[in-house]
Amino acid sequence: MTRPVVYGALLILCFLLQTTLTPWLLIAGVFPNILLVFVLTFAQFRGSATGLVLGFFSGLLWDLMFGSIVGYYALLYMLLGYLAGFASRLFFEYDLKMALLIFGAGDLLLGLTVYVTLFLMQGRFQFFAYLRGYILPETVYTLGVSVIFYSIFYLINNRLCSLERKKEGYFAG
Amino acid sequence: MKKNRSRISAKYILFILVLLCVLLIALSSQGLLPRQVRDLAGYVITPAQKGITSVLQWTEDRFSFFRDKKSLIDENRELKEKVAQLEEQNRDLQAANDQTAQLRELYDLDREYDSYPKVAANVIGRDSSWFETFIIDKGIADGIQADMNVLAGGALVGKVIQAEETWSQVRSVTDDASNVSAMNAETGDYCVVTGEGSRSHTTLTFSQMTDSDGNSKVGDRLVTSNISDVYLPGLLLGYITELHADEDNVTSSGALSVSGDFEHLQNVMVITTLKE
Repeated sequence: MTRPVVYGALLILCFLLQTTLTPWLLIAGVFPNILLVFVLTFAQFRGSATGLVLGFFSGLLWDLMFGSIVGYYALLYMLLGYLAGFASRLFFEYDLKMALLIFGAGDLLLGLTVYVTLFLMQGRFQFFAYLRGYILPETVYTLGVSVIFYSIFYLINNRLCSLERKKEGYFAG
Repeated sequence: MKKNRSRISAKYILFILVLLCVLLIALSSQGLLPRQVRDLAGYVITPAQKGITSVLQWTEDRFSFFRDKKSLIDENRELKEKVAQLEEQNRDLQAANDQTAQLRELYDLDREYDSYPKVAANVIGRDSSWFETFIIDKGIADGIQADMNVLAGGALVGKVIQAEETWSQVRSVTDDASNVSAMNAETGDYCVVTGEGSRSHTTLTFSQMTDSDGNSKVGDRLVTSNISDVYLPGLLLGYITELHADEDNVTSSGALSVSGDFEHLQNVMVITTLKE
């Protein structure tokens, strides 16, 4: 039961950081996507099942608090978490380079999907304006901040793993 | 063995959750999602947001309190210069104001929007993604309803798009999807004011200004029009900074600077009168 509780607390904490710190940490009109880093990090550590469940709840919370259509971000974050989960089969230990690659790809993919589904469909064709003005700056900012969060999440995950090992007496990592 | 099993179950969960998402999207796009669902999330999130926001504001206040003497002296000098500037500006505005008063009468605008009943609210959360929406700590329980106009520092900052029991979502006028029916307070020319999304928090654009006689000029004040369905008439939007004629030479468009600080919005006022 420890993991779900820790995940829930981390999810809410990341959401709160992302929505309340904005006025203080906004750079060039963008803010890092901490919630996405959370989902993608644990997807890498724990696999697709964890990734998609965390993605679903993170996106759902975003939808409920800010979205006009509930289920949109839930679906997007869930798919990203699911995809990032495949990396867990290739990498086991702390691998910052791989993680940054996944965060970068994830945030870009999220940005592009949001642009295509919510903006292009509305007849906003200035793709490069959105790319330069929003998608790229946000990805860069997210990557910068993700180093700190990735390390924190890594320590938390290690802690959880050793707790589980102690309890169940076998390697569950 | 174990790995194989977890892969199958991931696909299984994915399938169920995708269906759930599709169901949620279908329900909420038809407006059939029960309001309690959003409220449930709000009960957990908004008190925490409120707490964090007030701690952050308190910390910021402390910091400014302990700011060293030198910066206060500098600030004092700057402020004195600014006062001189503002006094001059004030004289100009006074002149403009007399003119506006006449025009307002002409266009039957409400003379004082100060007289509308208002509810004060704090901004406790912001959408940090593509959309310029924010959460305020007042909701249906405080008399807030969807479409109510939201002001800050005497200017329009947005409208309520979703009111919950104890909190509400507000869409800022800087949002890409925000279209405000506006008019030039000096000339009475109608136009549409649109936000620039995350590309700019200090400027808005206007278009379709019916300015065939070319009376509008840079520096003119744009306010909400009397023909808007949602916005009460005469609310300040900003001042024209750029103006050019459209290709058809009938309408013009351009940019305006907002008077509020949209990146650091903290306190807002919600007008609890709805436009009829």
